[in-house]
Amino acid sequence: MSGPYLALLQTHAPLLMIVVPLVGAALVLISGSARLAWLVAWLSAGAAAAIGFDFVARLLSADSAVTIVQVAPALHIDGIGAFGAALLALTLTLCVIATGASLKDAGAKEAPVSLALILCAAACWIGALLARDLIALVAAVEAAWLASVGLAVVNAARERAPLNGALRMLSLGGAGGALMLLGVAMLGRAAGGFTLDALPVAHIRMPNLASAGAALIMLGLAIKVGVAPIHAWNAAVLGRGNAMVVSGVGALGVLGALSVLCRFAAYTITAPEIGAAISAALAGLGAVSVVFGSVQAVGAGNLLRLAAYAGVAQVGCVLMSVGLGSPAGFAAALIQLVAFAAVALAFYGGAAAGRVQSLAMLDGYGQRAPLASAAIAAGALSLMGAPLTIGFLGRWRLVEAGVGAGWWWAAGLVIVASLAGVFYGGRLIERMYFRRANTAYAGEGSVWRLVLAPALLAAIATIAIGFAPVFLLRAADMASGMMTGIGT
Amino acid sequence: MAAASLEPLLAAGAIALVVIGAMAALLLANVVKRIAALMIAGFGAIVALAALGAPDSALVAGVAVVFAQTVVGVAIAVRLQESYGAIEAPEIDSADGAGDARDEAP
Repeated sequence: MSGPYLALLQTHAPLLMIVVPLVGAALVLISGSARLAWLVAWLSAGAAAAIGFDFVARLLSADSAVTIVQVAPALHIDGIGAFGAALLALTLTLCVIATGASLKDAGAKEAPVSLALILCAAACWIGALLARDLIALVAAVEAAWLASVGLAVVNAARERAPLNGALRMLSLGGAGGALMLLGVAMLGRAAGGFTLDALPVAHIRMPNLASAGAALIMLGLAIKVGVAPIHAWNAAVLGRGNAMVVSGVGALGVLGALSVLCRFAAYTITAPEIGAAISAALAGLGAVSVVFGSVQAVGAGNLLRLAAYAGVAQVGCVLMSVGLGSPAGFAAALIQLVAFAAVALAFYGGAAAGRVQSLAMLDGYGQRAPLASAAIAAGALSLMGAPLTIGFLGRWRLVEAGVGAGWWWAAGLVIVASLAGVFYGGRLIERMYFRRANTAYAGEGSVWRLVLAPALLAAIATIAIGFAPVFLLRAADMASGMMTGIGT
Repeated sequence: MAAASLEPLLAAGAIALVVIGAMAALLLANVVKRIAALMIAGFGAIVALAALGAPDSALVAGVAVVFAQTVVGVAIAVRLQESYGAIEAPEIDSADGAGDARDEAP
């Protein structure tokens, strides 16, 4: 009886991944109480994640043909987009669970609005990952970005510092949005159309104009990712934000923007006329980001800022992987996207459980909050690139692909990033497990135990995938091989 | 004799508008002026879309983006005035500086 309906749902899975969080956001807004809103948000995010995982599993399983109906001509499915969308939906679910701790902090009136904005932002990032043309991509990215800005503003009721971060987000992101629109105009003119999947095979009449257009779009996306040195909003928003802000902007927002940047770069880098220029731009941006992020993370005195800067260094590694322009490079980038999501969830979740901000508050944290400390320690080990963690896996694949392409300098930068990770990650572990507490623990009873689940799951995934990487490696390889797109 | 076209001139003007607006949005201290600069950059991008032959849907999307940015920007300006009593970025940064120093203390 339910078979035909299930088949219908599966056929329309890409559209549902966008619509379900949006419907959830609408229900959250009318749900009234903060806890009911949280439950509704959790259910809708979980439904989107289930749909996404089912879709990607069918897409990547070699023995089953996926039928995708042309429900909307604006959608186009490819490996990186589908992989990123499913990862984003899963991250959304975990972020929503983690925000349960800060419903009181956010305020009874603000919490439902915050949750609705998180769901809207995720839906828009997923929309950008599945968009067929450049105009839809830019519109979805801007909508997601403004939802993130709104999230920072809404959560500045008690602590005003995120307002300053929101202003920086608006200024930088707004300028980036104008550059993206300009880039779309230039690239569309040069390529003779605005369809993303046609770029690799388009006869580009004006390569210089096309390169400039693609570079402007990537610059606009890089601002939203927080790529150094254009990441002035990053620490300002995340440094003193509550769990809503760090989860919604630091984990979900950055992951969404980074996935969209990877997808866009993968299309443009395979266009013969402009590929070399895009590759050079990505490599340069990635290298600068690794160096800046690592140096700033070493000097950070605030755990949330340290996590933000460490994320900048991780983003640099992802950009270098995509810059290789090969299936091996795309696969390395996808693995690092998973690593980024796991580390962000572990760090931000572990910190939110005890309301930790400054590094001094980590002293003796291992005794006061062993589970939260374990999550942060797992994230730190992954940032170091310690063997048997997902961080090691991603960086190893980057080194492999980089050396194969003659990019020895990229391998050197990965080692630099890992050495810096040993320094700042080791400092966190030393503070948590080898020092006495000097501040009162703010977390304890009022924090629901459930909210630690995302951080612990992320920590377990960080280690478990390091031990048994076959599934992720296979999925990333298959997804990177599907950049020519399927269906529709 | 080839027909003269205004397209290069329009495109160059649009690019200049985007660059001027983007730079002003990043460099100006006053929040309201930043919002105005973002509008200039956004409308420059819309003119570029029109000059380079983008479809109507792209222009509508561009207008929507600029409008949404302006609305959010005005909301931020109001909240900044309420919270900090200022809409000048240096004053807001210095007010946050004390809090940052407290956070960074070992």
